[in-house]
Amino acid sequence: MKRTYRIPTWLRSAVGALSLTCLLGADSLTEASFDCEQAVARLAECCPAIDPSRFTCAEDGCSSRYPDFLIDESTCIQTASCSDLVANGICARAANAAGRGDNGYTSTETATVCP
Amino acid sequence: MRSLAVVVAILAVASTARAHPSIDDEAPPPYVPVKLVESTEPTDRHFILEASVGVRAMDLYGSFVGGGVFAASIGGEGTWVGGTLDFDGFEGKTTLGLHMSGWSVGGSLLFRATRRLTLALGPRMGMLSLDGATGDTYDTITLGLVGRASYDLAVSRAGALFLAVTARADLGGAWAPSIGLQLGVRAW
Repeated sequence: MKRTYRIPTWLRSAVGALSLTCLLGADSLTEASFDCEQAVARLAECCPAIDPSRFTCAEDGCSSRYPDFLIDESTCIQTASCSDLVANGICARAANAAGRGDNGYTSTETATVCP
Repeated sequence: MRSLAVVVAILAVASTARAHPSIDDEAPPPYVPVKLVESTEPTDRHFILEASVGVRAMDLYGSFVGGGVFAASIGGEGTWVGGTLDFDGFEGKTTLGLHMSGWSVGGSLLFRATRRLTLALGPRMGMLSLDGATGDTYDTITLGLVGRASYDLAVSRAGALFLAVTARADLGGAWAPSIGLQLGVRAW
């Protein structure tokens, strides 16, 4: 007699939901993403040459995409004054960091943008 | 002799008056209108429908998010306990101007502490969205718990005007505690 193995319904539902989430590319609001977006908002406010749309703040485990800024960097940018961001070269370094999250930049890196 | 006759006649009249009271004596006491004070507190509450608007302050990942909130509930209530099905929507901004919105559905168990003070506790499930500075949108599913105390500022036979303080915690990656103040109307 041939034995059949049935995958539990809850497991099929969970796998289905996870697959659908990845397919739809839904970005979840992690702490790193939220802080990064806040930092980009601050840069857009203080740095005249910054184009916010060039930055990546989404964290997507399905496609190995990470925010351009570490949490410490984001916090540093958020709390710095506009004059400090410009005078200390943070605006320039931040502009150069745009898009690095798409290239495997992860939370294991050290902060290089701010302070 | 004549004076004795007069005295006897007076006594006879007085005696007759006591034995046969006059019409005035039989009349009921003067009418005193009874002021009926109708209770404004409903004694039987089976169905309630309420809506409220207010403000909400949230701590998300250590950052402040503030905004407006709308809530609606439908349910039933007995004299001291009840239950509602709740919906609420939120529109707000972070301190750096990012737009955040959210909604949730859930239920509440009501406890009427006094005639005017109601306490509620219940779970929430919903979605929190952030429109980022980069143009991306982030959606996070949240599970939460809400506690509410509402005080009826004014009560009528049809409903009440109430003020509610809401304490809430939503889990969507991390716990996001929030507190809200809402003014609303309740119909029953």
